[in-house]
This record gives sequence, structure tokens and C-alpha cells, in this order.
Amino acid sequence: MTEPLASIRAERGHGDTVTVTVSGEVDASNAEEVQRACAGHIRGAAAAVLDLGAVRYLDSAGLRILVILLQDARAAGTRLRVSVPRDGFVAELLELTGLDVHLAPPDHST
Amino acid sequence: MSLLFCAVAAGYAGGSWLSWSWFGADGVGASFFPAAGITLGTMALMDRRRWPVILAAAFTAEVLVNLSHGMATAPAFGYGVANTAQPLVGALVFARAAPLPPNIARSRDLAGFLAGGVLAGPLVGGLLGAATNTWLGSGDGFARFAWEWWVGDGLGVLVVGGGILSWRAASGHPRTTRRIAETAALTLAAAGATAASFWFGVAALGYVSLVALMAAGFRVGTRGVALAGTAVAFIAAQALASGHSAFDIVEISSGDALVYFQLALAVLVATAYAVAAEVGERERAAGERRAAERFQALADRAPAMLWVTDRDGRCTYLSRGWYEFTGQAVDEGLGSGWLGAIHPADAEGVELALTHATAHREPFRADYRLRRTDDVYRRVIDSARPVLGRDGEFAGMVGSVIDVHERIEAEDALRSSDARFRALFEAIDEGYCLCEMVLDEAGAPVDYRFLEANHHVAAMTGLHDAAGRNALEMVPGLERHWLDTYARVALGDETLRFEEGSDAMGRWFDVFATPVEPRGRFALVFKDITEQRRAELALRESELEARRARRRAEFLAEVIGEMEAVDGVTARAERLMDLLVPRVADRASLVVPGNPPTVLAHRSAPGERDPAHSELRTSMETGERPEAALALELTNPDRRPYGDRDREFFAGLTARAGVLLASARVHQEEHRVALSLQRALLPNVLEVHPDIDVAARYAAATGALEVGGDWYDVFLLPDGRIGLAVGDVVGHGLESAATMGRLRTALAALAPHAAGPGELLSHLQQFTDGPNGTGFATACYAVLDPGAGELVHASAGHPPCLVVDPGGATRWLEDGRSVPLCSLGGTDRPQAVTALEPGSLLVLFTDGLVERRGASLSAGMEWLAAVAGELSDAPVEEICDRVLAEMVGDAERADDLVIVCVRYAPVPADALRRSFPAEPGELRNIRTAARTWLEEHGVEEPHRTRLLVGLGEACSNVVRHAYPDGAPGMVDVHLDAAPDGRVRVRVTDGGSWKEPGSGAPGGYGIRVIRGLNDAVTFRTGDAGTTVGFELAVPAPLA
Repeated sequence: MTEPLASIRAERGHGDTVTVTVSGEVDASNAEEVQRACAGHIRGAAAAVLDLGAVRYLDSAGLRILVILLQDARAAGTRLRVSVPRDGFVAELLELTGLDVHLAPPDHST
Repeated sequence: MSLLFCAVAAGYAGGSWLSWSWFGADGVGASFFPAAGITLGTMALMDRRRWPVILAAAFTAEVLVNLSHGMATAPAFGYGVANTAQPLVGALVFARAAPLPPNIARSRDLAGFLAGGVLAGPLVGGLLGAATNTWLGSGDGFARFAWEWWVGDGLGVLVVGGGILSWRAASGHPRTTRRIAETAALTLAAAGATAASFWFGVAALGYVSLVALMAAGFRVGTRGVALAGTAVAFIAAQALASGHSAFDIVEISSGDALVYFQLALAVLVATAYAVAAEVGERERAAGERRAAERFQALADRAPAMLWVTDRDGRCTYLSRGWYEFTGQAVDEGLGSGWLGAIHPADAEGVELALTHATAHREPFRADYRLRRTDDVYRRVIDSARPVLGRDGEFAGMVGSVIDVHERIEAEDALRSSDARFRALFEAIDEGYCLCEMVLDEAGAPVDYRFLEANHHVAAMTGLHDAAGRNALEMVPGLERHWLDTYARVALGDETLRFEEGSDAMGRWFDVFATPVEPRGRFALVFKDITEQRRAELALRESELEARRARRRAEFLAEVIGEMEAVDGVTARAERLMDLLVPRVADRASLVVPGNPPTVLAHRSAPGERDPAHSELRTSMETGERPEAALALELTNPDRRPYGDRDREFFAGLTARAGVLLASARVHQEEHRVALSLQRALLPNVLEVHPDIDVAARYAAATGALEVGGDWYDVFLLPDGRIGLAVGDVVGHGLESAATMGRLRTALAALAPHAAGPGELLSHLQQFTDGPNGTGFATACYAVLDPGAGELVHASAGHPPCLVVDPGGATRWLEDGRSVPLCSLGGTDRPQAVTALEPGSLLVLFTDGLVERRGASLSAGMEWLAAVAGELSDAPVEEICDRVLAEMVGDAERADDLVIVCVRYAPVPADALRRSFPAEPGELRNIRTAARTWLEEHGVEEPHRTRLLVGLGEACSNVVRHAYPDGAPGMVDVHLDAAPDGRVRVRVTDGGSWKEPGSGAPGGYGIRVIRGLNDAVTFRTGDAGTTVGFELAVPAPLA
């Protein structure tokens, strides 16, 4: 079996904060898996940052799980912020789809 | 002042000098002393403040004249004092008898003049002079000196002083030329007779003088007497002084004669003055009587009652009007008798007022009751003003009396007399009542009592037998504001007019409330306006309702307009929500019931979470079963809950909206049917060869309900070449459509077997013949050899094809043309060959594209060439759309049209062409292959990722949707780099889609592909779907 398309790493911060870093590629083949992994890390945290800075590829399947993660976090009372490189293609995708407003407030983009 | 001094001094000196000159050598002097007249006359005319000046002048002149005649100083001053005291005493006595300045034409004034000026003054002067003469002078006999002085100065005052005074006296005689002549004649007669009697000793002539003097007094008045008397006195004095005498017959001394003569003369002149005065008085009285008669005649004719009083306030005249009004007998009212006609209660006051006005010479005005002849007392106004007589003296009052009874009665009626109110308002058809405030111990109003009420009160208030009862007793629940309002009237003395309703009485009233005497009472005049008020309210309500209805109609129109402006069920449902929230609802939803229910649209006002306090649900006919339900909710407690009218309105609105949603559904359906039809008649897949990009458009004629006759086709020939066809079957309808179908099928079937396009068109002709053999069609057919870039083409009566070279230059393929396809056509049709450079654009079309009303076909073709030349670089899909927009736009089309754009773009040899299984796991492999190819071709970020994401989306779509039945399919991936720096990507599947046309990715996918890349196209055909896009990359491609 080839190496995983994407890898997820979580880092606990002060209090109930967590930073989840996704790297690699997210497409229709691994989107659900990535979603589950991320959700596991975010669950129970007061605030979470989903860092997509190391994502090399992401398409609409990836965008869809971002939306789901955000909705779930809201429902659970977790403040979830999506961090993407300001000039990267993910930011471009978010802007194209209008998701940037919901997922990555500009003042927190890195 | 000094002028007066000089004048008096000179006059006195002159008079005195004359007197001195008349003294004879024998010492017998003319005691006639004119200077005394000057002093007294001047003083009588002048204001008392000037008297010291006059007296000083007289004193100075006397002393100086005396001294100049050699008199010793002491007697000179003594005579001066005597001649000063004399006029002073005379003037003072005169002033006591008559007001100065005097009018000696009047008896009273003349008497004062004679008593003071002529008798008293000279007597005092004579005594003082005699005393001076006795003790300071020569010592002549005192009595005789005094006697002579008295007579001489008295005569002097009489003639000279009288003369001075008579000049200003109103004689009562008109001053006419005849009078002046008469005066002169009498004066001359008196003077002449006097002179004659002295100088010629004719004593009898003296009587002529006497007669002349009397005649002057009688005829000419005081002035004549003064003139004639003066003349006689002077002449006599002169005559006697010069030794003449008229008294020779009488044995007396000349001195005695002088005195006696002068005494006689004085008496004579005084008598003449008296005659003149008496005559003057009588004439004056006659004149006044005549004036009074004229006034009476006038006054008697006047409608008013006039009266006249004398200066003492006694009534001297009453006009006829008075006698007629009062019934008094003529003269009964004179004096104070008129007061008898005045109401006894008023008479005293009127008399007092008149007495006061008379005493002060003031205007008089009184308002009293005067008894009319029928013994009715009438209200009159009496007003009078003081009048002056001819002599400028106050002469009494002249007044007028006017009957103002009606006017005053009317005024009184307007005043607050409750009796009159009652009388007045009993007659009118409004409620009238007289009320009294009921106060508590502290004086605060607690109720009011009806004292009287007219018969309308019961009808208008429902309160029977109100008089004597309290308001709260009859209407226990009477609102407090009535009490407060009436307290303002009764206690605050306000008069109010207002409209007010009483719930306790269930009525509305229009009330006029006014205070009446005594304090605490008020009168009400009112009308029951309940019905009128109800009518007004109903009118207002109906106006309100009309406005509401208008607003609703406007809202409904807006809803319909806004919904119609968008297409599609969802869009219209969304638009409906936009219109409803928040304007008429805080939350709204449109739901098709079911398990689970389908939410067509839902909207909440921003931040709206509260539970609804009002809900409204209507079902909507949308052409579906079950019917959709529209639910509206109000959560804001400030908003009025939905009422019956709202439900009614929204039921109507929902019905209309339902129609619009249903029509959207129908329209979608129609559109799908139209697409199906087009696809059935025209080729679905133009993706026939990698070396060409093809786009085509078919547009029906405007308003055409039937299928047109234009067609096109693109197909691959067995030898690898590409067939391109476009044609036009003349006519419309089923027959044309059938011909079109036949031609297309025949062309595709015959094409592989024909030697070339010309021959193929020749064979095709037989298929144009319709059932009647009248078929007529045009067609253009071309064969492209993609490897060689060679195009062979032929046209049967069809407009030529257009070639746009890569640089934008255009050319028409004019060769290879022959007649249209019809029974007349020959069998030998020409064809032509042209070379296409890679990147060239070929445009095939039917005449519907270039035909325009009012323009020639060639003009339309020029226009097409210009537009296509401009667009030469654009993707073919875009060229089709833009050419259509430019050439046709929204204009009405009489004909249907076809445009086919073919880009000859031979695929480079190094293109990536790979097929992968359509499985999720393959996606990374596809990306890896593409990423490698892109890196090899020097495509840098961000273009590389953009292309990869676009490719990934397209493949992902295929993986998810293309093969629903589980049968594993393939996805073909094609990447190539055009010489102009564009990377082109094509993803093709062989899937069968459940829904025709649904092969395009949805949601985020489509947005991502479109957002990151250019020239994105989707084509779905029987054989599958192709997604294509491209991206210009800046770096030179390796």
C-alpha cells in the first residue's frame, strides 16, 4: 500500500485549544477519512485551528469536509478557525466558493 | 413791549400837548384832555400784564410834557401820579363791571366803560390833580380844579377812549360802503355844525351837532358816535380856546362855559353811545333770533330730537321730534321740564351730568330711558356739545337724542341672561340646558346639576326630566373629563365649543358651553352627533381599508414581478422568501410535505430565534402532489399578529406564487423537451477528433412553434478525416423537419463512399424531394484532413464558409459552389480545396445568421467576417455565443439559424493522453501523471495547481457520477500545450447519465473549475461527457 495521501497532526495548546495540521492531499478518496481524523481532534476543544498550510492539493471534496467540520464545531460550541496561506491556492479556492468568509476570517490568516 | 411804550407815550404826549395848547392867555384852558382816553382805551384792550408799561409810558409822557412847559418838578410829578392813578382806577372798575377787553356796543360793557373809565377814573385823577395843584402848584381852588379835571378827562376818555374801544367792538351793523358814507356824512355834519355854532355864533346850529351825534349812535353805532363826538369835542375845545363862544346868550364866565359845555357834550356823547349800544343789541338779538329760527326749522325737520340750553343749562329749545316722541306740550319741556319725560330713576343722574357738562363747557353724553307718548320707556342716547355764541362766549349746549332701544335690547340679549338664552334656544332644534356646578366643601367641582333643559335634551341624551337632577345621578359612569371641561366654563369663565364622546352615554356630542350669571352656572347648547360621527369613522375606516388594499395590491404585484424576473422553481421560491422576510414575516418557509419533507426555501430575519407569536399557513398549488405549504411566522412581539384579512390576502398571494412556481416548473419541463428535440435532430457530440474544437448553436425563429429546417453535422470519416456539414431546408414544419432528418442521415451515410464533397452533394439531391417533389434545400459540405490541414469543400446554393486565419485575417470560401439541392440541379457539382493553418477558425452557418431586415446578405456577411475576425483567438464556444449576440442579439428573427465554429488545432505530438479507471483511488495517479507532464512542460505555480485542481474536479465528478450502475468505467484525460502558451485539458467519460445534461459537476466543483481556469466547456452526448478547459501560462512551454 502506498503512503497515505494526507497526514493529520494535532497539537494541544493552552486550555482547551488545539491546532490540527493537515498536510498532503485531500481528494474524494480520502476526504471522509481526513474529516473523521480532524473531527476527533477538534471534539471537546473550546477553540481549534485547522492549519491547511501544508496542504498540496485540495478540491471540492476537501472543501465539503471543511464546511462539515465547521458546522459540527459550531454545534458543539467549539470556535474553529481555518488557517491557510494568504496567497495560496486553498485561499483562492475558499474565495472562489465564498467559503472564505465562514472558514478563515482574514485577520487570522497567516 | 417798547413799541407799546413808545406808542402810548407818543399818543399821550400828543393829546397832552393839544390840551396845553388850548390854554388861553387868560389862563382859561380847555380842560378837555384827550390823552386820558388814550391811556384808558389802551389799557382796556390790553392784557393786564401790559398795564405797567402803559402806565409808565403815560407817567413818563406827562412828567416830560409838564416839565417842558416850565412846570416845577414837584407838581409835574404830582400830575404824573394823578394821570397814572386815574386810568388804573378806571380800568379796574371797568374790569369789574365787564370782562376785558370790552365790547362797548353791548350795554353791560358800555356801562362799565362809563362807570370806570369816564366817571370813576377821572374823579380819582381830578382829586389827585387838585391836591397837587393846591399843595404843590399855584394853589387854585381845589374843588373847581377837581371838577374841571373830572369833566375834561371824562370827556377825553369818552370820545378818545370810546373811539379806540369801538374800533374792535362788534357793532352788529354790517360794514358796508353805505354805512361808511353815512358815518362820514354824520361826522362832517356834527363837526361842521359845531364849528359854525362857535365861529359864527349860531347857537342853533349846536342842535344840528346833537342830532348828528344821536343819528350816528342810532344808525352807525359806537364807531360813528366816537368819530362824531371826537370831532365835536376837538373843534369845541379849539374854538373855546381861541375865544369863540356859542354861549353868548348865557351869562356865565368862559371858564364855566367850557366846563358846562364839555359836561353837556359828555352827556350827549354818552347818550349817543347808549343809543348805539341799544340799537346794536336789538339788531344783534334780531339776528340771533333769525339764526335760531333757521336752526329750529332745520332741527324740527330732523328725525332726531334736538335740544338747546342756555349758558346756565336751562332748556331754551326742543325740536319737534321731542314733542312728538314724548307727547309733551310745546314749551312744557323748556327750562327743566324736559326732565319730566325721563324715567324717574334716570332723571336725576341726567340732570347732574348736564349741569356738570354745562359748568365745565364739556361734551355731554347720557344713556337713559325716555317715556314715549304711549307711556313706554325707550332706551335713548343723548349727546350734546357746548356751543359758542357770536361773541365767542359759551352760549349753552346743543344736543340730540336718539332712540336706541332695539339696539340696546339686542346687545342685552347677547349678554348672559339665562332667561334670554332660554327664550332663544327653546326655539332651536338643539339641546339646551342650564346647569350649575356642584362643589364639595373645598370648592372643587364634583358634579353638576341641571337647572333647566329644553325638550331636545331628553331626545338627545336619553336623560328624561333632567331639570333638578345631578349629572352623576343620571349617568353614574359619566367620564370625569366632562366635569373638568364644564368646570373650566362655569368657574374659569371660558366659552368652549367642542366635540366629545361619552362611552357612559354611548353618544357623541357637539357642545357649545358658555358661562352664565351667577358664577358657577353654565349653559349648554348641544347636538347629538353620534350618527354623524359613526359615519365619519366608517368613512375613515373604509379609506384606511382602501389604502391597505392598495398596499396589498402593490405588494402582490411586486411579488409577481420579482418572481417572474427569475427562472426556475428554486430561484423563484428563494425570491419569494426574500420578499416575505422581513417585510411581512420574521420567518417564512415553503415546504412540500412528505417523509422527509422537502424544503423548497426557507428564510429567517437576521438574528431571529424567538418563538413565533403568530403563524399563518397556506397551501400552494405548484402542480405537485402533495401541495407545497407556505408558512409565515411573526416573532417580534411589536408586530401585529396576522388577522383574518391577512390570511385572506396571503391565501391569494400564495395562489399566485404557486402559479408562478408551477409555471417555472412547466418552463423547465418545456426547456428540457426543447433540448431533447434539438438533440434528437442535431448532433449531440461534436467531440469527434482531438485536432478540432467544435461549437455549434441552433436558434429557432422568434415565436416559431415548429421545428425549423436548418441543420448541421460533424462526424468522423473512416479514413480519419472529419466531415463538416451545414444545410437549410426551405420551409418549416414537419415536412421540412423530415427532409432535414433525411438529408442529415443520407449525408452521413453517403459521406464515406463519396469521392469528394461535390459528388456527395450531387447524390444528396434526390433526398430533397418531398412527397410533392417540391423540396428545395441548400447545403455546404467540407472534409478536413487534420493531418494535412487540407479542407475540401463544396456548396449547393449555400452561403460560403468563412475562414479566420490565426492572425485574424478572414476569407470566404467562394469556390466549389453550385445550385441548391432541388430537382433542377445537375449531377456534376464542383468542389474546391483550401489549406488551413493550425489555429485557423472555420465558420459554417445558414443564412438566418446574416439575414437582417433592411440589410443585404453581403452586408450581413461582412459584418460576420468583422465580428469573427475580432474573436479569432477565443474559444469556439465563446465565438458562437458572441457572434450570435453581435449578429442577432435580442432582435426578432424571421428565420432559424445555425452557426458552427471549428477550430483547427492539431494536437501536438507530446500531448498527454491517458485513460484511468473511474475510481477514487485513481485520482492521485491521474494527478501524479498530470503533475509530471506539467513540470516537464515548465508550467509553474500557481498555474500548475490550478490546472491540477481543475483536472481533479473533473475526474472526481466522473468517478462519483458517471457510472452509477457499478459497472467500472474509464476516464480519459487529455492535456496538451498549444503553441500560443495555452495548456488545454479535456476529461472524457463514456458514462451513461441518468439525467441528460447532468454530466457537468455541481456545487463547489463547477465553481472551482470555472474559477481557476478559462474556456470551460461541458458536452454531454450519448457516448458520455467531455469537460474541457484551458489556462494560459506565462512561461514558455518546453
